[in-house]
Amino acid sequence: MNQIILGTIQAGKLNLNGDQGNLLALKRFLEASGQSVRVVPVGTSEEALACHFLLLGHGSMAAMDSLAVLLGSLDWSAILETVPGLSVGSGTEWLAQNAPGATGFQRVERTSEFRVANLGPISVLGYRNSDSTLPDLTMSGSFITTMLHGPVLAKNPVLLARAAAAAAKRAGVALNFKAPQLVDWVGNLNRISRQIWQIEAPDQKYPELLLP
Amino acid sequence: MRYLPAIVIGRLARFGVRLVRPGGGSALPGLVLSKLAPGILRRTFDSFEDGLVVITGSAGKSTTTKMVVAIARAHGLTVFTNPTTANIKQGFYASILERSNLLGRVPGQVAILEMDEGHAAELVSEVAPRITAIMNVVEDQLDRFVDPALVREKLQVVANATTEHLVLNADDQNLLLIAQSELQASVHWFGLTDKKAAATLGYAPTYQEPIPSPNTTSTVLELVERQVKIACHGKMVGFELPSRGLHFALDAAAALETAKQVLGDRFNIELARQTLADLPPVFARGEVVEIRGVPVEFILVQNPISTQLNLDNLPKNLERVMFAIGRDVHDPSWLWTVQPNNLPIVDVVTGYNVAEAELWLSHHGIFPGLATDDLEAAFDHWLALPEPASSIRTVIFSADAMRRIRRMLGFTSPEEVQR
Repeated sequence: MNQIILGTIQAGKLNLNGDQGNLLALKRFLEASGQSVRVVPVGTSEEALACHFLLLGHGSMAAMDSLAVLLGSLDWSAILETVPGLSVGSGTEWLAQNAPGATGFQRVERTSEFRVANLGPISVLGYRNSDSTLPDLTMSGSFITTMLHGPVLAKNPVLLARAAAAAAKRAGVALNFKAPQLVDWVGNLNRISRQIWQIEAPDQKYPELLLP
Repeated sequence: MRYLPAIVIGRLARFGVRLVRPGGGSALPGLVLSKLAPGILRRTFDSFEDGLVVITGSAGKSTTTKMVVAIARAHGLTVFTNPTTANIKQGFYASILERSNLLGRVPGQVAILEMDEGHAAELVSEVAPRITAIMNVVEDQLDRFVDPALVREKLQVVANATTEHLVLNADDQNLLLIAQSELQASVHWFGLTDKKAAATLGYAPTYQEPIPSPNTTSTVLELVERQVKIACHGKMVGFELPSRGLHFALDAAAALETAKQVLGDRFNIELARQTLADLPPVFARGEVVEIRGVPVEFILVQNPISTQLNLDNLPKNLERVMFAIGRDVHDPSWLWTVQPNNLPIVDVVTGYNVAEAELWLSHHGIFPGLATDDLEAAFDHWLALPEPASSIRTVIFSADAMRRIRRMLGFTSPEEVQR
């Protein structure tokens, strides 16, 4: 069985709001579906391209300054085109300024609040604490790029399932949606995430993850 | 006389709030006084013979303030201070309301105040502190502060405004950066001899070329369980800390150094040692309280590093744990930066952010027996669970959950703490 490789860039520096929790959420979901999963650090383009999913988390201003050379050395054109991934907060800002074809953004008044954003038909709840004009959630090639920081995949099982499916597809494996562990785990996620949505977005309908 | 009406109205507001909510409600009366008599803060802070002493930074302010106040009082000083729960501007107004006479005069030779790191910069623009102790910069309340570098900028303002003595943590690179600027105050350092251990205390990394750590005048030499040995200006003292953990030992070193600067030649190290040895914990920092005949330990967690350190310092074979995260945690994402490896079990999870806490715990393989946002029901259920075999019951909670639980249990005074 192919092992699914989840890569992360500088996990220690890019975890300011618990953004690495996204990989934990993805790992738990994939393992519950019967997959073998490994989380690996990524420091080169080759390592990034060998991943089935890649996380670029959110770091402090000092962390981002210290990573300028490393991030600039990666072949983002190839990575964004081929590797499913997630960028969060200052990771998303870095891509918006430096990735091929980047158009940049402007600084405006800061918002610090829970928001519901949409990615096509998927509604996603998360916390935005940003003074950029970048959208809450969008796609950049095969990357989900978001300004909603923290464990956004964990709180949004539908988005989590989409990320898991993308990783599995790249790894050439099929997820077993009938696996009892996955059914239980998704039930758990739906129950808890529904409560979070009720508190933070009471006027929005919780988008339940229904397994095929 | 000009503050008399404001004091009377503020006290009426306080009386009204306490009728509705016993033990709570300093914010509204403080707000009332701040609107009616904004100048009273400056006049009060300016009125102390030995000046204003500010203790600020991300973590450890409450414990250190309580220690410095106790040492100063043991030396015979009359001290004006603020309760732990009132360390922002409104809280200072509330403290004045609490302690002043009807004319708004507050007795005391010195003011020793814990100040929120976000509010201190604004407050010192009104009255310059004579002495400031800055504990550290950690990644804390990012929904409010955004970035540790911005916290450092605010603390730099406080350091620049300090007129005589600045007491800084030698193990935190952020504070070494602050000390590199031109300061009017002389700088005194506290820290740990064990630099490896210092690295576990979670100071916000600067990711710059490390600045060499300066010599410290108050230094934690050794910590075994709660027994600490500290060298203070060439003399070694040993005593039992009121609470577990290396961060409390460091707070004690900071307190000794700050007290030394407050008291000058009057500082008696043996008296300071005895005071710290007798000090009860700041509430909910290792406080053990008997509830319905059952001993319960309360542990307050306020940010990623305090949560991590407190979890890491939990006793082995812990049983009967309640975990409560309240409304004060606006964005609970930071829970995901904490590794609950040392938390073997959580019987009950509760508080406003119960679902966020449960989501985090379940991803770490911890599945609470009960999850409910009803604090009272949660506490009753948890207290009715069978007696633990090898540890005492432990409540780990955020500040809001702590306040609600304490109020629910009838603890109306934050100063009522048992050792």
